[in-house]
Amino acid sequence: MASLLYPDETLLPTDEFSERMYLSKKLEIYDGQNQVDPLASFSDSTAVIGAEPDLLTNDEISSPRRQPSNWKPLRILAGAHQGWVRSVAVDPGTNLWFVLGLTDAQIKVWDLASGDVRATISGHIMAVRSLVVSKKYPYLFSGSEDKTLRCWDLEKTNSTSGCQIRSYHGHVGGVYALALHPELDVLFSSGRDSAVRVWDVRSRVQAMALTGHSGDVTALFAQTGDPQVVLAGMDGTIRLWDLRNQKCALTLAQHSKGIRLLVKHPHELTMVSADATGTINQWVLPGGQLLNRLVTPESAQHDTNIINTLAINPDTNDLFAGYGDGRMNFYDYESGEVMQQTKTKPTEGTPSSTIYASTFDMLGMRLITCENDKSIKIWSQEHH
Amino acid sequence: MFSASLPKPKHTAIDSIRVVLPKKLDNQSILPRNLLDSNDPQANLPKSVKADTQNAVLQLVFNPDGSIDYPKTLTLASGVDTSVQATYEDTIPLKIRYPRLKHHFPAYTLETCPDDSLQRCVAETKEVIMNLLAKVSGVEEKVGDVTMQQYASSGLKAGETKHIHITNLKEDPMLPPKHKLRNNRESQAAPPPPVLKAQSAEKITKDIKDKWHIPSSVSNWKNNQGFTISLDKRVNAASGGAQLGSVDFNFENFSRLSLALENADSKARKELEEKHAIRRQMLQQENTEGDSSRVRELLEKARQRKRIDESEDQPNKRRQY
Repeated sequence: MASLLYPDETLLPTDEFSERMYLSKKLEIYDGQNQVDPLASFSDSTAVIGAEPDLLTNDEISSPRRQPSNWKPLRILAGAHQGWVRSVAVDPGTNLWFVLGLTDAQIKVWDLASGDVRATISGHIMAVRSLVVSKKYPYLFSGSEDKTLRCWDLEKTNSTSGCQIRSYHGHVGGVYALALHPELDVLFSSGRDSAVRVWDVRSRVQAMALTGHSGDVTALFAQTGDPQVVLAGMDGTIRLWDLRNQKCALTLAQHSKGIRLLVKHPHELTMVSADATGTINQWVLPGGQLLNRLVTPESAQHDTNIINTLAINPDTNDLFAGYGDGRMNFYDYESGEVMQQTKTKPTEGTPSSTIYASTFDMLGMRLITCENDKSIKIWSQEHH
Repeated sequence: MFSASLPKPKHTAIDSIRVVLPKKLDNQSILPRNLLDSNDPQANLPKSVKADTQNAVLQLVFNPDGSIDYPKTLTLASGVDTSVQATYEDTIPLKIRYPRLKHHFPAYTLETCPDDSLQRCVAETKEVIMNLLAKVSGVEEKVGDVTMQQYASSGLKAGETKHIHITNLKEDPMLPPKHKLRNNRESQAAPPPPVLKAQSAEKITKDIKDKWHIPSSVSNWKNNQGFTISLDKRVNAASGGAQLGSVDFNFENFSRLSLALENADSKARKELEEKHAIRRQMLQQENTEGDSSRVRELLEKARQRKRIDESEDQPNKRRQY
């Protein structure tokens, strides 16, 4: 690809371990050395916070102070698109490719290792705002500003008739957020019409509509246990839904402005939310207690603190926040301290950069950021 | 200046709850008198007090100890059945309230969960969603539809019983129709009802049949196809079909007339023959008398012409070849 730019060849990783981890190849040397008992962590109780004396009276602070992280741009795919990149999703099954949703109404599937376009999916007529890849099926779900919600069969991307197999009709506004239930074949979608709709994936029938928000529902996620769906909206509330009884179990109203982001931790029963003032709150899940309020260092030159994207690294437990003015903050998820502060450099022809979407890959070794300069940046951590 | 006296902002995300305190009751208090007077508030504690129905929108909810449960009251008034965090403690992060809090909140999947709570949660959610979907798509099965019937048959052995489980089979609404779709079904009228009569005793003879026979219509003026049309049909056509059976002819007069005509004819012919015979005789007589004189005349003429020729022939002799 001519448009592929490698800014610095020396930044490519050289160590075998990370490469092999990245390509999910077997490492014979490390076999059997670093075995962790999977049940060890579950021996502790997981009851609700309020009734946990053992947690609260724990004298030792378990996690030692971490080294500051050092994320550097590894590769820039510049000029790859015709529009801003508004959404990104990594394949949860193989970790070999990722999908981008663009404002030019296209969806592109990229190979994570080689940086080639695997497929271009067109069909939407406005910007694609949300993407989710199924773990069970080769399906990709996309929600767009054109009020449609479509299901694509990724095995049929080569067919001339297109790979769209389903369309979920019912939204009366743009679709901003999507989530799949981890166990059931149920799709949650929300957006401009301030209602969250619950779809049966196979039959395209809307099973429920979760109402109550008085503004756009900008973010949501689904999980196995209660609360099964958590929604965040521009009315400044986070709502924890009890799907079994079809009622909103708890409303968190501690954000002072509209909440744009809500991300669940991949391994923990905690979640992070960020509002338009730049406040990042950590919550404990079943009960919805406020766990921590992350402190962003004050800086005079940044007059806006609008966070556009949050991503949690499943491996190093980093929390990444991408700002509207191109700032990138990395927090330690446990302590909430800032580990690294950088800023993206826009590619030529773009006066200022804005980060719209980001995600870590499934192993936590690469960070993909999507920006307004129509480029994709892949970041990796430089090891000391 | 109080903020309450300011006009309501045009665009607000959250509708504030309109709180109107109820009119003072008889005992000059909002709360019921027994609640205020009693030393033990638990004694006759109402669950909730609905304030004056005309003005109030606020329904008070009480805690077990008799104090007003403000969060519940407010959520009830906002019309959303949800719980909220309403204490000051809730606004302080756990990490600050408990500085030595261990960060350990593991999430379980279905496979790793020690108890069956997740399993139950997923199963119940699935059931709820299936019920909702069934309601939407209309494939709900009615509970009262199933009937059990005792099966009685001679094939059964003694003491053996069988039951038949009868359920209404739901028809697939997407199946093609079983009847044939026809156009204009209404336009085809039903056949008239049969008129029932007693059979007539009359025997149908050939005459009656012939009487009812309608001859084929033949025109005397048009025969575009050029068919050969037999004379009787032409005659029939010419008479308009009236003469077919009734030929009104006077044979006697006709034979007399024809006989008279024949006699007159033969008589006239005889007279004519006689006349001819007489005339022929008279002509014969005349011819025999006139023949000799005519021959003599002719001879004389010929002799005269010969004499003239002999006298004139010397100078004008015809050339000999």
